[in-house]
Amino acid sequence: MQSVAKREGGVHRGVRAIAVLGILCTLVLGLAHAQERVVVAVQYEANVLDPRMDESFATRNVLELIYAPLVVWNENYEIVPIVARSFEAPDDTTFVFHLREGVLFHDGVELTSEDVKYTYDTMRDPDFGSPRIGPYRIIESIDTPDRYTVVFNLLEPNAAFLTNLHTGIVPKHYVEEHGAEFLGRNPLGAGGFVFVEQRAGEEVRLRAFDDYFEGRPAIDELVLRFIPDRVTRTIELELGGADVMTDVDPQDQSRLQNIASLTVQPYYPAAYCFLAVNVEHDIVGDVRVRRAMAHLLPLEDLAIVGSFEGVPPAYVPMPFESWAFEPNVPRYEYDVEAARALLADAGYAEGFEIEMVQLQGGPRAQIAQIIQQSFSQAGIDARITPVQAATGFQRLDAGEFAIQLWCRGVLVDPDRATYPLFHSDQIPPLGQNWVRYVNPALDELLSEGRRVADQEARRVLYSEALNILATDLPYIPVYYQAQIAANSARIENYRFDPSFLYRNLIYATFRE
Amino acid sequence: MLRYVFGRLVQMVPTLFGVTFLVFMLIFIVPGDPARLIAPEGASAAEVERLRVSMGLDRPVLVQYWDWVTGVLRGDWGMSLYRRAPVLPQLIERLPATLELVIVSVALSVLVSIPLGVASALKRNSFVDNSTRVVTLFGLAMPNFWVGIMLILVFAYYLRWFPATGRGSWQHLVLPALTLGTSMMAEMTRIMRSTMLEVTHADYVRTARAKGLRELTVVYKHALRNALIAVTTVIGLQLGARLGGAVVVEQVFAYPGIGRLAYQSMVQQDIPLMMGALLLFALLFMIINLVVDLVYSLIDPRITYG
Repeated sequence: MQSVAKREGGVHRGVRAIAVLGILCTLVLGLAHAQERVVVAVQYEANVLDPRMDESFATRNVLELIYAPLVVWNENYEIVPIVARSFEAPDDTTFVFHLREGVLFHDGVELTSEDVKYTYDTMRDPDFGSPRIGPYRIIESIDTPDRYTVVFNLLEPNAAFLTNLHTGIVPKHYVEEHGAEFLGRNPLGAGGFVFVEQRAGEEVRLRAFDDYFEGRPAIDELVLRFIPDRVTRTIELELGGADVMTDVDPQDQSRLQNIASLTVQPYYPAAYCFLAVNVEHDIVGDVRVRRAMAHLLPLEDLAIVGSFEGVPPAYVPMPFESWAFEPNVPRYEYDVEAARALLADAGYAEGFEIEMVQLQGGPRAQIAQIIQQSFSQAGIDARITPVQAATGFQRLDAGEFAIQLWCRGVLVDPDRATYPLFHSDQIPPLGQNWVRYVNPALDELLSEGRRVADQEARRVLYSEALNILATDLPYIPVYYQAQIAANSARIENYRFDPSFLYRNLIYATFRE
Repeated sequence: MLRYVFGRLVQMVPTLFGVTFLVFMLIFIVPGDPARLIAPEGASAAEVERLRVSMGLDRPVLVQYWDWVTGVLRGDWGMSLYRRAPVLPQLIERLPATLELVIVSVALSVLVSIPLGVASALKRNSFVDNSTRVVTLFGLAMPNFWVGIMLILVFAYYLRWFPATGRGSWQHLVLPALTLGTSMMAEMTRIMRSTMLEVTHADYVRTARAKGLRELTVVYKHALRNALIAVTTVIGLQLGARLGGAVVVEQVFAYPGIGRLAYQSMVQQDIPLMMGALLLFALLFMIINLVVDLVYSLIDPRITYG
């Protein structure tokens, strides 16, 4: 009896020893793999986390971490395949995508051509009610010849179509089981990070997806904290309460640069600001008047006030990082005498009075005052009317403006930067040719640019188009809007991308 | 008493109608177009129009208001245009955070201002009185958001005693509650001081002194109790005003309450959410006023509601 009891005691001791050892091992391993947590301070709160439903920048920034798209574009706006392994255009209305094999959704189900078809078919279905339906109306049909091939058949040629395929792919099986509304609250994609929770007004929590097809992210936990006030965001960054911020106040730049624990990266989002000129207007409809106004803009100063030192002045209505950017266009150096001469030639030697509508936000109020001051040197008396975005757009749609100062966000493809704004078939209400510009030569170039798929051939076309625009000046460029980002120095290999702000956190690593 | 409460509750109905109707009309007078704000950047006027129709924003304003009212009566507060989620659960989710903030800031103000006001009145023109008057003047004059940023700078940035933003522990509440309470603290201290001064010269206080009561009894049983009636009114009014103040304070401290939701809804022109937040604020304000009226009768037995 005694020996049995003793042996039982021995067994207990053994179990205990193993348990202690186990706990120790866990502790040691746990310490070795300390959880890497990164907090991003964001200005706006994300809404519905269904990529088909929301195109707001704030929401997209979260979506691009959870969902994987067919393609994205790089900093020069060249298309980079992601879920697609490769793609080709056998003719000018067909795009064929070959998908990677073994791309998994967060629930372990493989992403196939059916999911791609489902994502875009629902989005272009008017009954689904996606606010993003616009660019997908030109899809005639989507075929899936096999599990890893998707074919988009278009109604008409559109070389810019590829830049509309950055939408995250949603899992068909999941949406069909739970419904679209459920997906919006409980997103599930094939992207680098798995959704954990969304706390309204506070934060979105994500964790690394172990089976992410491009390799598991180094960041274990990613938190997007919603801090609306910029001063507070900056303070949290300095205190270490946040690791990433993408809109540092230029005034804080040098101070943050002197903090060793931070890396400051200026970056250039594809936004540019300009004076849109109503070419049907009695006075500014005259191209000589528009050129005179262009001569009166101190572009170098405007670039510094609008953005900060080092940002190049704007000459064409296209971001300078674009592959289609053309620097060799007519330029209007700051020259009051030249401006006066042009105005006299047009019959306005004494100048004139005009309303300048200014879209509120950013440094535009200050910019408008500088322009007003500058215009007055040649006798142009510009009255500034600040308006909210919605009012500004109403006036643009109705053509009730002479000149309007505003900015345009990310425009990836040169087609999207030009066609909807300047082609004569885009005059409101059908499109965004708010300035009512009509030029058959330009129409021809823009239509051709949409038809041709070859990038080099398109570059030549858009070079010519930009020259026409710089000559006729329906938009007078004012400045590029650039922003500064900063992040904790322990994060490495994180390149800010103007179009996909946080997506590159998937590839970020940590300093040893 | 119950009849009085019931009567007051019935009175709230026309007031709520009035408030919501006025605001609803104002929303439509103010220029702006929610459909344009929700539409993606590349949208044409025709697409925006389609969106407007799909959101029901093309209908006459009165029809939209009527739909909203009948919805609320059925318990359906509408769908947020931006978040595409029902309004009521969103408000309820955020309500505790705001109530917590408002109640803590009011409690903090009461705890500070009543003793300070009494001390200031009793030791009139002393160092305590003079410095209190200067500090409260400062507190009244400073705008909320500025106080908030200064507190963050000093206590979060330089001293690192409290977190700058967020919600979770009691430490998170300290700075926003102080910010929200500053002007209230200042106002209540001044009112407490002046009513105490007034009351200490009243006949019944002189009588109490003449009876030979101890000074403490005179101050606390006779003077303070009477002075509190005025302060109760201020607390009631301030509780309501704090709800408004929360809109700014929650923005500065990234505090996830109703105030910030209301602010965002205004920026985004999210009409159902804006109306929901307004209705909730109006309801809370009226309930607070009712409670304050009932509290009077506890402090002053002469006041009864038959």
